[in-house]
Amino acid sequence: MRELGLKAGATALTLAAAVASALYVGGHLKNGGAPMQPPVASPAAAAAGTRLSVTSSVATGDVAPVTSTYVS
Amino acid sequence: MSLEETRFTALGSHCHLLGIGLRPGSLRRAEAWVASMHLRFSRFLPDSEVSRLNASAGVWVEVSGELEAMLRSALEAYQESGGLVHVGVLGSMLAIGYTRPLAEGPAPGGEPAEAPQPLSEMVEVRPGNARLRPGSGIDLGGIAKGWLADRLSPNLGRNSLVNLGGDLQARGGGPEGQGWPVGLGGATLMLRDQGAATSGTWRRRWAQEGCAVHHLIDPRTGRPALSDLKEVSVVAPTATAAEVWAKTALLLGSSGAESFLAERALAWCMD
Repeated sequence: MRELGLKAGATALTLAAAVASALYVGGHLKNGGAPMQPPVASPAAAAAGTRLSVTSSVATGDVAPVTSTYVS
Repeated sequence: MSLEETRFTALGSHCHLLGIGLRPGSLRRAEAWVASMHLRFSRFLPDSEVSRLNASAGVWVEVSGELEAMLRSALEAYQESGGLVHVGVLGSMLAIGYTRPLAEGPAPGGEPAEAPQPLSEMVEVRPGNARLRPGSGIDLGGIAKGWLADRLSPNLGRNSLVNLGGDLQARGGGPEGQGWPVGLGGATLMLRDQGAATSGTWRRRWAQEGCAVHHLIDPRTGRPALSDLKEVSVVAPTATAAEVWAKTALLLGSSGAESFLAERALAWCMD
């Protein structure tokens, strides 16, 4: 009887810990200060080292490109 | 009207065609045309028109209208670039082992080639015919994709974009009428009736006897270019001009590229 009680208690404790962890993680995912959100490099930073010059004959856009020029 | 597009491999590269309001079957016909041009202009295919011209150096050879026009364009590119864009560097390419498509791996290199003769002394063109100087050969890989993009663009549709291995021509206002959004140097540029191309030394690169070699030959030395630039992208009125200017700037290096492009290009990016 005591053995059965210990097993039930361990199971309940495990389930409670899992549920509490899930609730905690779910509640903190969109926290800006959460350590699970690594800093993401901006496009400008990704292109650091390149020198881009654009004359008035070409407009820049803030939409995703449909294709790109590249080395082939 | 919805955006239609197709992607395929030709000219040893990935190709991407897009259009809005295209006539039925336009993309399929355009893809077939690019494939036919590949068969005609590849130096790796023994029966191609270019291979036959190379094999007949020293005698006049009948050439198609397309090859005649491309050879004339190559001669103009040579003049425009001050001799840096030179399709007559086949001997140098063979010497570094670029004897077959790099998908098959480079071949062992041979004795270094000498700097080529001026292109104007190597290639003669007259209506319907061309002649190469004995012992010389051409590789059109440095200008063909931009040239073909310019020719295909007006036939594909009024609102279309032809991207052949990164050398592209945008025609019309694009999906939203503001131009075709094209990625260049980490930014998006809205191109309308403009071309773009990129030249670089970090692709088609391999090791040979412990040294790194690549496919971009400097005609001043006959060897792979030793530029301090890795890559140059250019926007120009046409894809042909963009390709020629990008290659010229890369070969000039950072000391000369900026002023060269500032006098000509509509936008550019150097790395």
